[in-house]
Amino acid sequence: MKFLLNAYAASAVTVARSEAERDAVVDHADFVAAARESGELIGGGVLADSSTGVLVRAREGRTTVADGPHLDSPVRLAACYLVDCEDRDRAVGLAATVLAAHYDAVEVRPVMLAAGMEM
Amino acid sequence: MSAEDLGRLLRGLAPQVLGALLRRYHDFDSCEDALQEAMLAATIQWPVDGVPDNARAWLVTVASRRVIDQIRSERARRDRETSSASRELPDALVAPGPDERVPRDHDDTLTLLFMCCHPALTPASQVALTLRAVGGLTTAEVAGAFLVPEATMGPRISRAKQRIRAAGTALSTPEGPAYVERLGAVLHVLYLIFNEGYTASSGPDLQRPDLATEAVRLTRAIHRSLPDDGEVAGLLALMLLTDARRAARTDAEGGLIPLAEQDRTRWDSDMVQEGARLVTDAMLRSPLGPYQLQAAIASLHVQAPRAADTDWPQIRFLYQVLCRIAPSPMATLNHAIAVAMTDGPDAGLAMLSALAADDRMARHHRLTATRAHLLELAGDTAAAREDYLLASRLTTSLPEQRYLRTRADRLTETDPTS
Repeated sequence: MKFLLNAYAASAVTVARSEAERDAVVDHADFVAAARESGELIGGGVLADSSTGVLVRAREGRTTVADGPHLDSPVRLAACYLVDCEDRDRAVGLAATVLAAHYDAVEVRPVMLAAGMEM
Repeated sequence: MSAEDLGRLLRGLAPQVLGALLRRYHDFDSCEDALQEAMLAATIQWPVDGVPDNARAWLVTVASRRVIDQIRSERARRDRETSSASRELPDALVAPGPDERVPRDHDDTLTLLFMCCHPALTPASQVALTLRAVGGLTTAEVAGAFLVPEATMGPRISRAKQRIRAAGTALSTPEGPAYVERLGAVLHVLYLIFNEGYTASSGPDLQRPDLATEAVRLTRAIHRSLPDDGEVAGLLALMLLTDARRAARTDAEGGLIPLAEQDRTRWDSDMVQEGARLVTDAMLRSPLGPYQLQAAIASLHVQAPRAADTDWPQIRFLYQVLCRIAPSPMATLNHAIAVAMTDGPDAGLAMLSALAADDRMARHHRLTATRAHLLELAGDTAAAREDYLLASRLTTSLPEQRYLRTRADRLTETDPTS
């Protein structure tokens, strides 16, 4: 099953906390190495600061591009990884090894399948 | 012989040859490389010279020479490095003579399957390695089957091989209770492969290898090796009786059609007959097991000329036995449906409320979807609609979600109170 692991970091962390904690927000090297070696990592990475993002919208046939961030939220998406693993429990286990989990949250979202069972 | 026939012949022989090589030389990677080269030689030589009388022995001999060459050159390299004198080749490095006693062909396929389903591996790794080593799929094809990049599947297969190597005794067939357990793991892996293929076969990815057909092919191979094992026959029957409905279970847009509404003329009658024969025969001759029971239930479903003719009392009885010998929330769920069909929806709903106390099931879309269906049968339209919508939010399958929303919408249209 495929899951998206969304690692969120409080926006305050990068300015207010210690050097070590700031590094931890972006250092997922151990997770990436382990998940790649186990054949579970499909892709993903650490995201640039949300102020560098833009929002693209299509309205009435016109495409507009606006500066981000999308939501004025105290937490921001700091990294996301797509993994393919055994089940939800395993995905949760992988999420726990994404370092941001220690002081923020990693959201585990199943990816929808294009196939279904007979109902 | 057409290229297609030759390909089929080679794919059938590949696991037997790989099993025979591994028994002698142990190193998975060099044996696999040697097998690939021998197969390549066969595709060039056989169309010209004809297929040899003992095609399997031919491949084993050619591949063995290749492994030995590789080991020799590896040893020469090491010897040069250590400056030691050359040594005699041990017996194990000598290719087998034509008169050497070889075990029955299919035993090697079985040995290889047992190895791929080693308990040191996770089920996902067992599945990947089985498709690669026994099914003869390339790493790219296995990756394609699971819709992941080759860069993800490659390490998964490599790591599985490493784990098996580290575990040692890879090719020794376990005995006693360990044998029964390992055969169980093999059947489970084949069942997983089948399900993956069965759920995916309606998807837009026509390039994906047909895993359901592959699972049937491999299960047939074990059934030939172990014709008296009732559970092997049961699993093969279950696959055939399920796959027989393939053409009827989705509409032109890929939408799901429930069993009761399927066009039964589109079911594959050959598969239905073969499956029914297999399971009837197995149940007469061998101890009862969960695959036989599920196959027997599938058989009752597909033998009813119309949905209304379904023998629900018999299905209910079989689920009752299944819940006793192999209890699982899914078995209970299906038992509840059969109870609802024989004793009325309220009896089924009572069983479901007991099941909802189980943490594993409480938030499972199947439980919610089933409850919605039974509430609809009971005439509680509003509650049924709520549960269809809840189930549509819980499922992680797009076609299931579409189906459940459609059911909910249908109730909105007919609900006089809304």
